[in-house]
Amino acid sequence: MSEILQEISELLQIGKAGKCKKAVQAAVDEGIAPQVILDDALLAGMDIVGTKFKANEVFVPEVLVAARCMNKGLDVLKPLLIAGGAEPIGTVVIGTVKGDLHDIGKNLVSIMMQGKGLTVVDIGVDVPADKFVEAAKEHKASVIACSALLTTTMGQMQDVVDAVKASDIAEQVTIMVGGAPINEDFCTKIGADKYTIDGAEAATYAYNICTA
Amino acid sequence: MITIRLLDRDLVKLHYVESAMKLQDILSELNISHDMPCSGQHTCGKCKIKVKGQLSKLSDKERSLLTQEELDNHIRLACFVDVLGDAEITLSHNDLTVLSVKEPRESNYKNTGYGIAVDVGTTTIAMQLYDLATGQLLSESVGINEQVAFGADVISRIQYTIENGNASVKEVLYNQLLIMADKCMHESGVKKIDKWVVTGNTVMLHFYEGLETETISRAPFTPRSLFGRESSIGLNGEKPYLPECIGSYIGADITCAILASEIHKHSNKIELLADLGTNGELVLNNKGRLLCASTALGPAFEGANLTYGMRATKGAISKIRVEDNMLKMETVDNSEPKGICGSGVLDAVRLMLEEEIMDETGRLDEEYSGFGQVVSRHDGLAWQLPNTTIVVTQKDIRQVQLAKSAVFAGIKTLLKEADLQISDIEKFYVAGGFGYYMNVVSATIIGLFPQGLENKIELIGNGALSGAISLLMNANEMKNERAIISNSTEIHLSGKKTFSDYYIDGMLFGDE
Repeated sequence: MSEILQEISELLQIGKAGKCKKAVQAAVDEGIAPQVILDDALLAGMDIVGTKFKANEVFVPEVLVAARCMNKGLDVLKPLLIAGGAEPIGTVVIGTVKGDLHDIGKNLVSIMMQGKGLTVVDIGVDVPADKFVEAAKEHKASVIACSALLTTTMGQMQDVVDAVKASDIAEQVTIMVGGAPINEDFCTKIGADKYTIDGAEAATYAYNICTA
Repeated sequence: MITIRLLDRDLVKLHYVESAMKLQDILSELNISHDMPCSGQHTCGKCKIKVKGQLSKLSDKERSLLTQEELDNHIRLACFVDVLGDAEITLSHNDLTVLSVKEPRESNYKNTGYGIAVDVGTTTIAMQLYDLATGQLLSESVGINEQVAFGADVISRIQYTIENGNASVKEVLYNQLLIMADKCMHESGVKKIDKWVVTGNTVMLHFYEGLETETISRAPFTPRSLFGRESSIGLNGEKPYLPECIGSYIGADITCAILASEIHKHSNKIELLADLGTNGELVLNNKGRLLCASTALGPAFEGANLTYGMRATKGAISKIRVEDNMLKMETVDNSEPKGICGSGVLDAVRLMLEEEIMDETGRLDEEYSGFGQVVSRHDGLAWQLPNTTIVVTQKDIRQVQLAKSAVFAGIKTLLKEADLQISDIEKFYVAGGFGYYMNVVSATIIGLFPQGLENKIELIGNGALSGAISLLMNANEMKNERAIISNSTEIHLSGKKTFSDYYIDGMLFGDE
């Protein structure tokens, strides 16, 4: 792999946003295709960070600073990717359910998914069930991901599942659930499609759904 | 007449002596064989004992034989100390013994009869029985809140009541209070309780009255009642007074801790109060305006979430430090180490940072060998303490990072809201079960508290219970209670970007 791409990946892994952005521009100027820069440098770097996070080798703050790099790099690449007619891999709508204000976990999942090249629409916290459906329709999402951190709010996920099933996008959308009190059994019980234990698994699963 | 309270494992014994006496002699009278290696010659510095109250002053010689941390934790040398007035001696570290409470401040002893003050903590219930006429403490009882059967934290207990109704949670608490009261009455010979004050966090008081708690658990966090009145649920025929709560997550226990710290009277000061238990409540006194917030502190520092975490009971490592190039550990009861409790966790993390067993991001150094070594386990890396099987895993460190950052971020957010700096804080009161045994230096080094507060800290023990006692003894205290409520505001940290940002920043170790 070319030196500049390696450099971009390494800068991303240590969270040097300014330098990373400059390096991305340099790669563009060298004539490397934007898609290649995205896949082989930015996403490759995020992948390494994601794996280390899962192994507890790096922690929340490091993932967040790496994400900052990715976003700065995307600032440079996005217009070029769009101009080049790049197809988005897929769109995910993510949010924390009604009554629940926790967002750090959701934000991490969002970053990991973006790290896989997915487009993520974050609809925030304390989100009522129908808003999940609305956003999915508006952004033509293939995945709805719901987060809850309290045993007392996770019941809302049932409402999201019901709202999706009653809508006209029921066939197109995969429903993912996650958060500390959630588990496999709960997911099955409410009729959601997939429970994943952390951001890394969630990102992999969402990616597979979108590229299937 | 001098009252000596002796805390011995989970027993509290009361002993009375006529007048001032040497501590050594009191221990003799009590048939306690306390280790006196140099037979009271003031040379060895090994007759350390935890004692507080009206004692003779610390001499230069005594001071030279103790560390500042020991002094901060009320350790004195038995051979030097004269007991001049009421005092409390702790024989073994058992956090389930009642924490020291302040003497009821004002002598408004116009009451007659007997009263009970009780702090219903999420994890620990602490009760004391008083002679209302003399203000004398007659007996006390401490126990683990039996509601732990329904969940370790308030949210899981609320979930339980949503699924199973309120009856069992209410009944369990009620019965426990009666049993503990019975024990106190039996020990003191008191036949009837004339007055009760029951304090606790907002959810605990809801459970006491059997009120719905579901709305407290989700945004916008609405309680059914903030109390501040007599309860219709009587105990032994007497209706207890339930002090007023400030909000859903800042309960009557905090109102009482504020009463105990007296920060509500300091309308020209800027001070901080933290009640660190299962939850971590913070109160910023900004010249009379009290800004309050709650964080979830609990499981990591109570040991529940950690691989070898445990409560501060027999076998829990409560202190760890490097001294003379050796690792020194103390366990509760001096028994074989079985695990680590909250105060031990603070010390351990500090040690790992200072000895570079882990780096500033909290990552263990897989090559480390020195004081114990870093080993590879099925669940990742871990630091194994020397001569034990006890480990602190990489995952444990991450748990501690999350927990300590919550308090750190809570403090920073409150200051930001009030447009103040750390340097503006004149005093930092730390209350709660964990706070009493905390090594404040370790707490600061690892970033549980922001830098700059170390020299302003005063540990006040069980502030909630102290405040409840003052409500029991002194009719005027209710005016203070009202004043506190009208000057207090609760803010919710979750959902605040400021809090989130500080929370992320505070997770690592090292410079803020």
